[in-house]
Amino acid sequence: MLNLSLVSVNKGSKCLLHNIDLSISPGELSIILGPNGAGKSTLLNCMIGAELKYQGQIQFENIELKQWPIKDLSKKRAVLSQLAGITFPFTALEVVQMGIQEDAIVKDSRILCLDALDKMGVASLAHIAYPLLSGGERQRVQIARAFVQLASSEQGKPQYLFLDEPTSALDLHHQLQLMQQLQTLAKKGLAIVCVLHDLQLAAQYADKIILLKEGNLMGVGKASELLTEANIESLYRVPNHIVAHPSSGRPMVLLK
Amino acid sequence: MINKSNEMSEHDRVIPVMHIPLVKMLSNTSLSIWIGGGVVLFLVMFFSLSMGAYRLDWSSVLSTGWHGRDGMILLDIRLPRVLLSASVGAALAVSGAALQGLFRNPLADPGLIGISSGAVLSVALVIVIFPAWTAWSGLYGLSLAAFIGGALTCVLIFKIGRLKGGHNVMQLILAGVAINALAGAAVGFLTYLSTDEQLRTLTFWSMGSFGGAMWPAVWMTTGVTLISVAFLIHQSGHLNRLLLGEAEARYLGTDTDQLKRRIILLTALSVGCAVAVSGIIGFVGLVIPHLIRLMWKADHRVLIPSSAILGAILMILADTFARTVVSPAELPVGIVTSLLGGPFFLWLLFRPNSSGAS
Repeated sequence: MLNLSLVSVNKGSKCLLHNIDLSISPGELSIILGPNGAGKSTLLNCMIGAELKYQGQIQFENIELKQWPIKDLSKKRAVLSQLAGITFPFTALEVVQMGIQEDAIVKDSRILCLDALDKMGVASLAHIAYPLLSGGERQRVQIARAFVQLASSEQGKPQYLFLDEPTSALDLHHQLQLMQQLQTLAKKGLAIVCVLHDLQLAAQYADKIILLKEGNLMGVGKASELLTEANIESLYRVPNHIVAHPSSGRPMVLLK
Repeated sequence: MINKSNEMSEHDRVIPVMHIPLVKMLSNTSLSIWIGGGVVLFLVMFFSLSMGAYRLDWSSVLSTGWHGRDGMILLDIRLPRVLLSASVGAALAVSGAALQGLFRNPLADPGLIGISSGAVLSVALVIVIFPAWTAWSGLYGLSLAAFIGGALTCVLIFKIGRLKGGHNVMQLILAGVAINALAGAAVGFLTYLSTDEQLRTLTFWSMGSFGGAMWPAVWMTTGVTLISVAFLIHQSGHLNRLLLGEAEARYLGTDTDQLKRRIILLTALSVGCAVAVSGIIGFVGLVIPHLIRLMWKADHRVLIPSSAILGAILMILADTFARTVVSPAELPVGIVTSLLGGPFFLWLLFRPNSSGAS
């Protein structure tokens, strides 16, 4: 379990997060939603220990997050932040291999990496220099790296995966593919927290929606409870209309 | 950049050398780097030992041993010089590779964070202001001064880097720029104060040479180089991760602050040592790692050991050239490396497909 209790973050006189109470459990795909500047990234940074100047308590597996040694933490959770380039001509496979734990339990790490690339549909790019890949290809290689990080240290279960806008550079097909993979992983017991901008994707795949507005927690719960016309209007100031998805029954946001 | 890469065919995007079966085979094992590189290094050493103003007769060495004329030239003059140039070449190349990885910048080099200029300033101070130091400390006075200067600069860079907490890479580079500028100004001022004779010593020293190679210097430099190469090979997986960004490397379980501290310390130590025994030899730290990345692999698990070996080989060749081309006089080896490195550096900047800084 990852527990946040009364977490606030202030930068100067600006309050980025205000008294957030939240818990993340294994087996759930949680999606953080909110308009620009609502505190989505700050919240994610708190959860992964990148934001250290907070008030309140963040407990990861019953121990204060700050007290976790870096190495132990890397076996429990993978993080995919927004992408940075790699200066040198590493191949895609070499980038994925960076995710292998030093004391990995797997026998053939190369096969594990190729497998992860294959799952993301980029196995054919394994020996191509990473700087030459397109934005979407890079994103998929990085996601494969995060998968490999978790897969090479199974003993750390339950495990967590944190992603900051993982679909931003992906086309429609790969967006759906990724969300389905995340859903499957969550069903297998992984805790996944994901910042997204796309309301439709969030509504279709989330087990839990975390709705943020101006640093405050507006609500935590199922998509059908939270994605209402009034909430969307209040968050994004857009007139909208909610209909049920013909097959899944989950909410879909239509713009008026 | 993205548009351009989309237009390229799949074939163009494969790193070209990966097609060569030999290269592909070699890249699978680091053992072959040591064996293949070791054999070439040995041959180059043998070649360099045979070359020189005096025509060495190997059969006379074999028959009279170390005490004959040829044996003594080999043992007291050529062998320490070849070994010293090999370890300085390896130390500079590996330091360059590690710093480029650390700063995620292909233009980083031991000179960049100001270690070399700190060493130079210290030597200039000794030559111009405290000539009594050399009388007191004997033969190794200037070397010792260079080492102290390099180490002090290293401490200073650390203090500056820590002023705002953590070790921000950008801050380290900027601190290096500032230290380079200050040391340059101070050396300029000392040059202005110096007598003709002091000026001559200073100039020759700053051009780099292995002319004074002696066994104690060989032991010290080789020792430091071996430690530094072994450590960097051990940490090469972490160096790879650092390229994803410091935060990402931490998420992967790498203690980035500790890694940075150790890399800076070891490069300062080996560059300090190198400058101490041979003066300023430019471009080796920059060019060698690039050559390997272009021809072969960027992966530090391959880059670090092959930089060490190629650095040693090229430095021996450069020094052999420097001491034979105008024989019996000799060129400062720093001139030879800069002469080769300068054009290479320009080509690197302006080659087609280069995307500016990267």
